[in-house]
Amino acid sequence: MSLIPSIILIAVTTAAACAVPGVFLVLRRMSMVAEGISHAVFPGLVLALLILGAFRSPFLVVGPAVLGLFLVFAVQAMNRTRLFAGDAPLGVIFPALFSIGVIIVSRRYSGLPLSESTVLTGDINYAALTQLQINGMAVGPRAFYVMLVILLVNILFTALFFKELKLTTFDPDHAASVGFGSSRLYYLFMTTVSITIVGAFEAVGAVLVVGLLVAPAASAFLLSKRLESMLLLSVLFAVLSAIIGFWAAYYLNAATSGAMAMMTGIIFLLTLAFAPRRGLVSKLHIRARRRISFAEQLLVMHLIHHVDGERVTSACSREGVRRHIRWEPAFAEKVIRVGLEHGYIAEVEDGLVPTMGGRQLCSEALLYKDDVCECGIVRGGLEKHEYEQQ
Amino acid sequence: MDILKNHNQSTNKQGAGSPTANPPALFVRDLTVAYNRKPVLWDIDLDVPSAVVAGIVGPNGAGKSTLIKAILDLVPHTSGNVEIFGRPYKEQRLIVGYVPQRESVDWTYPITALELVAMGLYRKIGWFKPVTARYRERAREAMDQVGMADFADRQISRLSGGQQQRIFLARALVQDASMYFMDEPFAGVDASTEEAIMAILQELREQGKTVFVVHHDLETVRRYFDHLIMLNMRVVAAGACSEVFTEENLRRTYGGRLTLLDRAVDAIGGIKP
Repeated sequence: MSLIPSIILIAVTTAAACAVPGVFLVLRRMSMVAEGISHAVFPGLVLALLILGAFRSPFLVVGPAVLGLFLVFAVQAMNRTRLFAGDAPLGVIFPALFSIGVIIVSRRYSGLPLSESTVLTGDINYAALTQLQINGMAVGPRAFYVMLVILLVNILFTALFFKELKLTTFDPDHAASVGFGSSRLYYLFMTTVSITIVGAFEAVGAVLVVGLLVAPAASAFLLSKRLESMLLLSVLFAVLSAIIGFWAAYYLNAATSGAMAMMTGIIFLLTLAFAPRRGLVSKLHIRARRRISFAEQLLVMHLIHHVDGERVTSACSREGVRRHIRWEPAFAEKVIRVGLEHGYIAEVEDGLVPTMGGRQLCSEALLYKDDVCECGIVRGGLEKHEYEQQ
Repeated sequence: MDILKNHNQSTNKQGAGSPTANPPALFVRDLTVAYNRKPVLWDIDLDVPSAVVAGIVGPNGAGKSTLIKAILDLVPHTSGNVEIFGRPYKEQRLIVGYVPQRESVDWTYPITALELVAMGLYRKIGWFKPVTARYRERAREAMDQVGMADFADRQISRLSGGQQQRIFLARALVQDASMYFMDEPFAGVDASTEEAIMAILQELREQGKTVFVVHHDLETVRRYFDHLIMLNMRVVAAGACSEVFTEENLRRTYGGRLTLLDRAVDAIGGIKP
């Protein structure tokens, strides 16, 4: 298979395989544990390469994954001592493990097809060169098949334990109380995470794999009402990042893995900005709307006060409103316009008056509801005003 | 069924012996829980009859939540023995429902209210099997019971605190348990939700079920509970609410915490030192 489709196949399967367990990592708030695992497996990978050499066997994936699980156990054991708060145990253990790998690789004549830089970012182009041979025929890059198997395992695992993962991730105590003891499932899940990370190591390296695990899932989280849609969106974003990232790298003549991870970051920023309801733009919009509706209430309240109490015409004119409430002229005009549109206030020849609708609006904001509304009913708002005119 | 009828007796008599013909709904002996050898609960003995709404009160740090979690095997206990209707908890899991504190879960989690309620049925559904329409229907009924039928498809982050508490309750109701443990079901809910929840708990009692409620508001203790457990790392007093909810016991439970005590004494009303 030629190089470009090989690279794209590896990129897409790697991204998709990471995106599935990434959803549960994000929901469990364990993104940094993924970072830890991605570094902890490195010495295992190095040792496996030293022992097994170029001989490609499944042990090259499973062996190092054991170290990832070891990290998870070690961190939990350290947490149980209650000597440290927060994630200090993680920060101590994973660099220590990682450094073992760095020391072995950095020795000259180690004879390993790895350098310190590919460790961090991987080398997808190199991975694409190693084609799988079946009966002497090259059937595609080996890394693609490895990641395809891992992707299928992840999908199968998630489908099989979907209900159980949903429950134990959300409410572990309740899960345990109904007999879904979560620790076995938890370690099984962490095993799949470890294997996924080891598999992805060759293509994207120890640092960028975290981006593939976390960013698509985090973007999907902002858009999802249900777990199913979060999983689908996460995979979709990962695949998009892989394809766009590849072509970006191709035209920029840059590292594919870097461009892929960059794309996951860009997609995340876009969802963060534009996600409906939870996104920043929509939050700003909601806040602006609240500001207007609050100002509207304030205006109606002000008018009620002056219509019911001391009637000062100057306070109820457009000019007076602006001066009394100390609004910027443009903002005051806007609030008055919106208030008129909503029918909370009305304009008569000597200024603005509250309507019954306006009084109701204000009574909803008051603790003692009857006050404003009663006044409105007894003494009338606009109605009273019209009455006076008749 | 006559097991369910022998309620309203005071269970203050300790050492009533091991469960025999009429085992109490909840039987606890010598339960001690320690974190790193620092005891949190000391030698708890409890006998609670069935078909009561039992309050669990005590100051902060008294171990109220820990007591529930220890009974449900969620925290390991150093010593002790727990029996539900005369048999070990492990065998009785199916008939025990649990409502954790509302703050114990992440409400931004991407599921709908109906899915959350359906979680109460997972045990019945069993491993690997999906939640079918029949179970969803059952969950919908429970949502209706707590007045939340209109919110089935709403994402749980878009519910108010009181609504979240109601669907937590609905999740427990679908379990159709005989005994319920509820950790502060009234925390952060408005008065109407509190009344609604209390009405449901009373209905459960009418059906012969036993309900334990961790509670903070001493003013409503008398109105809400027929059985009371007063806790401060050990059981200060336990028994029929009318008998144990006294100023003397409150003083022993809350110690020197005066402001609380004053309110408590107000709550008892009438009893003068």
